[in-house]
Amino acid sequence: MELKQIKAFIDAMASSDLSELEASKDGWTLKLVRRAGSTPTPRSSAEGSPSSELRETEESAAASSGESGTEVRAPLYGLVYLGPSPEAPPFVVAGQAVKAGDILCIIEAMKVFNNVCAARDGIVERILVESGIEVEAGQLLMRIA
Amino acid sequence: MFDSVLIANRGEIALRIQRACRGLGLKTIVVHSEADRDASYVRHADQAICIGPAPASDSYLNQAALIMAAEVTGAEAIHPGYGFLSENADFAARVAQAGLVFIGPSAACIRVMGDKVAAKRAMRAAGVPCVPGPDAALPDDPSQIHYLARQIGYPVIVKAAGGGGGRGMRVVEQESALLGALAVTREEARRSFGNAEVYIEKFLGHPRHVEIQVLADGFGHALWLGSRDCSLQRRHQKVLEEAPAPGIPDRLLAEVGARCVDACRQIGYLGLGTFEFLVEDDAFYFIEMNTRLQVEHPVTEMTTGIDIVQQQIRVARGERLTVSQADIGCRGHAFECRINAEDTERFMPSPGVITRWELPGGYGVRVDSHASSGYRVSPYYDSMIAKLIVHGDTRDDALARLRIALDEMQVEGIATNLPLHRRLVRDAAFAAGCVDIHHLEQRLQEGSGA
Repeated sequence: MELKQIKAFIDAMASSDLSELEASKDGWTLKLVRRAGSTPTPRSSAEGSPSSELRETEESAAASSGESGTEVRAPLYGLVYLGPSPEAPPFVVAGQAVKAGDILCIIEAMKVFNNVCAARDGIVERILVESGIEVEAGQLLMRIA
Repeated sequence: MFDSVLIANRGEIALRIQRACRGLGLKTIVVHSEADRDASYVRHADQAICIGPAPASDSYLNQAALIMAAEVTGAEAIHPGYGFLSENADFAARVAQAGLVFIGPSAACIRVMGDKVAAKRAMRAAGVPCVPGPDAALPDDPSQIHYLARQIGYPVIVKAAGGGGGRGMRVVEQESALLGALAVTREEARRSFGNAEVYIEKFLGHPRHVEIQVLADGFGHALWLGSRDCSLQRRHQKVLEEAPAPGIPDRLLAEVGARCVDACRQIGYLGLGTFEFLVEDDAFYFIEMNTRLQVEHPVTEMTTGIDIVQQQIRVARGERLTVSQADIGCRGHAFECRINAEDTERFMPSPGVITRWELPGGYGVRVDSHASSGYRVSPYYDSMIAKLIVHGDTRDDALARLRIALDEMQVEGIATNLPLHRRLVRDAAFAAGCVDIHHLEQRLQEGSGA
């Protein structure tokens, strides 16, 4: 991530009322946290080893706070699955309580399964997609209150 | 003798087969899923027919739909390409039963080679060198199993008879772990391949992956078309290939090549095939035979000067091979990079729309690809979007050309593994040649450059 981009994120956050901002690109995750009475502080870290035996990767759902709770968006373009298999019950249903790190759905692309996990504790307010459909990167999948 | 070919595949290989058919003056019928409707090779086909929705199980793997498409369009032959149904013996049999030509070997040959234990037995019978270990499935009696493993010597590898392509295997370092590993592999094999048979072999610590391309006609003539080295792999997926395999004595290669040709004659093989070997300390060990055209076939075309897809179609049409083994030479050196739509930092797939597509060119550079600027890389299929192939007078010459070509190639809109390739071609050990099959993953783990 270039310094220029980091600066742009800081500026964007400073001009908003956000208390937290997280962005991932090219294996970098940038997390900006606003402490009470201070300007946003950049905290940047390289992501850990991507390898796992099952060719699975975990993505924390891109989260942004809005009036109606946390939005869960697709981390990449692919096919969304709400359960581990067509016969199995879904990972979550509307009204269910979830903890940070719980699997919400899977995005399959090119035979690779990517888990989409809850960024924080909450209650699944709405599920906005059907299992098996194509979703664009950044498309809204669920809302967590 | 057929004059029309139905291409039962997609992407770059559908285009490659279409070009070969055109060169031979054959009519091409392309089948496609709903997701591939707008592909360039679909537009260029003499006839195109949609066979189902995007998921491969509903389209490219739908045998009934493919055969019906052939009947409706009047296609006389089916080319399966690679992947999908290319090594499915039942499909080959169904095509033949429908009175069509399957461009490949007989269903019986595919079936023997698909069973890794049966394949090993057939290869031993033909004098092809195999990995030490019995060419029979393991018995149930634990004491017999322990005896067999001790005869081979640890470490051993437990493999599923129905596996292949790196799936269904487990390395066992010592006797205490053998029975446990066996039970797990058996269960996996039963679930994944519908065949719980497993066998054991000596585990080789630092082998290279070397393969031999063969071509056989229906009149008992068979040729071997040189070697390829595909040692650069990640999770058993080939990343970069070359021909010939560097550093292997000519006499040794010719000896193994001749054995492969004998094996083809003995099993009545027809068409293109590849004998895959592990090579350690100048010894060849057969691992499996691929009974189809392979992704990396262009490096063999560049070094032999033979359009092997055209040759494959000609022998399927019932023509005799017109070249003899003495005519086959190896000129210069060739490399192929598989360009995949994936983020190589995290190895995440990256489907989406290509917004910039600049290809390399010039003397000795070839790109096989169905993609273009504006092309939408589908999340439904394999991530390979192009093959960059270069040829040079020597290995160093070809490698220098490859470095320039990789730098010239620019793709935007999606992530690709171009950065990984650019680092690999500058890796000192790879530049020197003869790295083993663990080299790429070791480099990735070290995170040092490549």
